[in-house]
Amino acid sequence: MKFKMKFKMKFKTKISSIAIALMLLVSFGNVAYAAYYYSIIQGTLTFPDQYNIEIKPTWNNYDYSGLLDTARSAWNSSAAKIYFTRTSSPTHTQYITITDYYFSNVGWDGFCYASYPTHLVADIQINDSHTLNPDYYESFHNRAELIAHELGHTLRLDDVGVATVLMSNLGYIHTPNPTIDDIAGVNVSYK
Amino acid sequence: MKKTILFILSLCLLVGSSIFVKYTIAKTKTPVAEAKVSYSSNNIKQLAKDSQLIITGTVGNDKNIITFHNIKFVISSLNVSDSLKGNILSNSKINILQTKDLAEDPELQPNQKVLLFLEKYDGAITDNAYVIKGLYQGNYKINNGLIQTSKNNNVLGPQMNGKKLGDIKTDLVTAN
Repeated sequence: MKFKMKFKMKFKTKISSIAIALMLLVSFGNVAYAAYYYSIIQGTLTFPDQYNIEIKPTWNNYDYSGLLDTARSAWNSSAAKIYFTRTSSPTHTQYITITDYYFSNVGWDGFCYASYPTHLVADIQINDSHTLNPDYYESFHNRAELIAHELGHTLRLDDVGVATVLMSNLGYIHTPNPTIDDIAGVNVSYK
Repeated sequence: MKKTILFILSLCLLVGSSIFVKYTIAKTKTPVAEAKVSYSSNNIKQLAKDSQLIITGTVGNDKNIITFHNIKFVISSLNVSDSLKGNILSNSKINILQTKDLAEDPELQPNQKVLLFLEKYDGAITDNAYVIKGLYQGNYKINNGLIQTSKNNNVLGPQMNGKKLGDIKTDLVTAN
């Protein structure tokens, strides 16, 4: 009887320890995961070759090629498991198109249709308003960051209300380089 | 004993599934379009200062959708009730230009009472229209006299959400 009770107690303690350990594991995992701010756009668009994501530019009012190259180099040299290439004749069915137009003060600098299940291409539009208007000279220096931000959308990253990441919706961080947070978000989709 | 094991297992399952829902499902959303907003403000007084016009009004029923360089825009009419900044007469009708299907530019809904921070649109999409300053940052619904902000408005939203229109009016008029 005594032995049975002892065994019962021991078993109960063991079970409780396992439960506590499991809870702690889950909690710590939760904390580590919650440290990231990235948000992922739902969708099925996946580029056929993640290490050769093609971008086809068509410039209307201003040649952003240099800024595009700065933006894609920022992503390419990061730990994100993707690689962007610039081409005038894409070889894949799914690729990114990027263009510019003068939309004026519509309230946005860059626009992106991305991750539509039915879209074969991801479309980026750059608003020339701040590039061509000398009153907005300061904003011109953020154009590479703007393009890097829009490229982030094509990789299924959503905007986040955090001021220190590339995918911020609270203004510019003054660099086209994706942060650890942005990279972690991309690597959820591209393993 | 069996009951204890079952209880612990279901507790773990409950915690696990709630975390899965919170961080996996909640972190994905249906896409429409994404944009980098040109203007951002830390406080409502600054937004008021940077806006040409601040008005309250009711959204009309007529909408016009325009496609301009492969992007859809929507023009809504607005019947002005009160002007807190700028030279717009009460009961006049103005047009508001917005980018369609853009989360950052929540579309005005017919018959909705709103408080809007505006600036004159000066581009080729349409003549004689206003755009909302900072998109979601300058767009507020008024329900039963209380201000209601959109989901993305995580900086200015807490400064405005649930406040009485009457109290906000005083703040905005003094900020000009």
